[in-house]
Amino acid sequence: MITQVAETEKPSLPLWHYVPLGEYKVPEATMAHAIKGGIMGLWNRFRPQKKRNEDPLRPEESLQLLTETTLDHIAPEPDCKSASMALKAELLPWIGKERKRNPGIFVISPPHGNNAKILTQLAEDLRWRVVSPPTEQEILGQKREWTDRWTDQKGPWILPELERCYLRHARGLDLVRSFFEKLQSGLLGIGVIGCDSWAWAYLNQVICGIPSDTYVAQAFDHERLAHWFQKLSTTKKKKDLLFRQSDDGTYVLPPPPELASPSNEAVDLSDFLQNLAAHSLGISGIAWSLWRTALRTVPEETILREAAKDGKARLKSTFWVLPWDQLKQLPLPVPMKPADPLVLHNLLLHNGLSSDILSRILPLSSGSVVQALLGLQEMGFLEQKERVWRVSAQGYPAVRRALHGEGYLVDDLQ
Amino acid sequence: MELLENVTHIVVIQIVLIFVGTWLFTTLIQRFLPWAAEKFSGRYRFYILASVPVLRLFALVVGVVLVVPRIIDPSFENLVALLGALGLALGFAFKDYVGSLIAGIVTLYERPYRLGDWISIEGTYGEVKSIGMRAFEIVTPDDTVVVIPHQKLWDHLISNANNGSQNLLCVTDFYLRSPHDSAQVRQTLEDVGLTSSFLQLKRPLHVVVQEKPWGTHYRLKAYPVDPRDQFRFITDLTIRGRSALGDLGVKFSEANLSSQ
Repeated sequence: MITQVAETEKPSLPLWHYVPLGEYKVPEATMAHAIKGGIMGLWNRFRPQKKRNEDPLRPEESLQLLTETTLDHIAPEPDCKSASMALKAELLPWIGKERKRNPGIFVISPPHGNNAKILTQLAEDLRWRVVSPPTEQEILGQKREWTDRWTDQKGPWILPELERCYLRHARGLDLVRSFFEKLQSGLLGIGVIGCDSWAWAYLNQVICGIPSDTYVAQAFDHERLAHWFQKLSTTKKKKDLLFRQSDDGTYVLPPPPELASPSNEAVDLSDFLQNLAAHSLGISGIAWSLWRTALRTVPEETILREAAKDGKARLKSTFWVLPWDQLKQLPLPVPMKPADPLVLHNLLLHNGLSSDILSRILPLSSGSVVQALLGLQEMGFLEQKERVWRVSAQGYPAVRRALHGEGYLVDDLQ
Repeated sequence: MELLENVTHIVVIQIVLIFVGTWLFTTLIQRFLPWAAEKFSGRYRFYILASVPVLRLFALVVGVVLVVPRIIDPSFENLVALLGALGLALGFAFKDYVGSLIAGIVTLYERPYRLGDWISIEGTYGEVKSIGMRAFEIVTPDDTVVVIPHQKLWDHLISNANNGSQNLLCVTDFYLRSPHDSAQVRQTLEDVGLTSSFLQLKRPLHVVVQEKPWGTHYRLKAYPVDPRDQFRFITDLTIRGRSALGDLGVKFSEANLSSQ
């Protein structure tokens, strides 16, 4: 059943903004901005820098990590409602009129973009059915029952994870080919298909005639990150939260006007979020993960001591952010071990796999695969949840860079 | 002009003694140093062994330097005549060396091979590991170093598989007995190639089919990401290709390859 979406439901704040794949733009690093500024940028680079304190305002050793409870309060896992609403607004013309020309619309997302959750939320909002991916046996057995079950049911549908519908195996492409053929011929009805960006790049190389109607959530630049993190941390009870950089005290998120400066001076903002946006390639999940990693607080006894000293009660609501150069970066060792790029590339192409399936598709022994997985996990590049191995949020930028440098196929989101 | 000295019997005895001394010294070096090298391990053993030809050459040079003034009057005219003859002899002896040096200069701008290229010359295939003034070295897939003079450039065919790039075409052959569904086999082999973890996806992949008296010859042509993985790539394609074709029930041909 197609649900008509009222215009009033259209979100007014473009925090989440879906664009065609060709319009995706990765945030640029701070140095790139200076160079692009031309002569002014060159001058800005050579003029005397603002004086920073020699001694950090809050040395790292005087700060402590936040508990999971505190992190979940000030930087909770974002819900997918606003993203789903933005996507629904973007799909309105297609839902209304154009669906006969294009029975399927693809929504692409980089790793850690929460695409599956957003599309599942969208299915709930539109009251469309969610299609489960085939099993490994169905994929490798080249059994068409999966698509046959589809045609038995009527009504629009959403397939959140196309990357789960194929395997990089000699028998693993037949089923997804059949899916594209039936989609194009209209046999499957109309639907929205979510796909990881790496899987999308791979499928476009190995299968001819894939439809090109694709959307992707625009990358988060530093302004949208600031707005997003502010929104995550703000509730009725927490309006006065401040986030300041620990070395020089500059504000990472713009403070509320009443707390910024008593003398109404211009607020000094750090470039942490610009670096974060560029490093995380504008991917919301990666930026969020690194943001949580960077947050610190002052121990309780220090708060009480300093509050008693100068009466600044708002110190309790100040959180400290480690400077960008103090955050632990994860460079991949060069040269990589022979198995590592194969493991990493295949995990990205499938957006995560169990070690059993990975052993089936890699030209390596099971022992070598497990050894590579554990080694990469120890270095922080992989994480395992419910038996599925994925490239970690913190490790993804370095992994992508390394694979691109080695000549492996990467996604188009760059 | 007297070229030769007045060779007395004392001079003859001296010359014989010098020859004997030189011979004894070189024999001692050739016997003693290898024995001494066996007392050491690792790279020190190789250093000692490498010194044998050097010391032998040194002994020969010293012997010649001691003998020549006893036979030849070392006047200016005599030395000019002697060195002129020596130069002529050396010119003929070293013409190949000089030819290689000049060929080495030519390779700098013609670039028939570069470091990292996989080349084939006179049936030897390997990766170019170093390029010197007179010769270059390639390492074969069996980890054998082959030294090739640049002079080979003048009159030998040098096949360069990747020509300074990451793109090296690998060909995996399959020989199948007839009858079978060729279209299905071709699609299967394409899928085998497309799903290889070593495949460079941005480069084209082809399956070439040729009919032979003994059956059908399939050639799967594809590019690996890294030329150094070419053998792992071909191994992967062969193993998975045979498995996939076996699942189709296709029989492999016991072809007489000399009849191709």
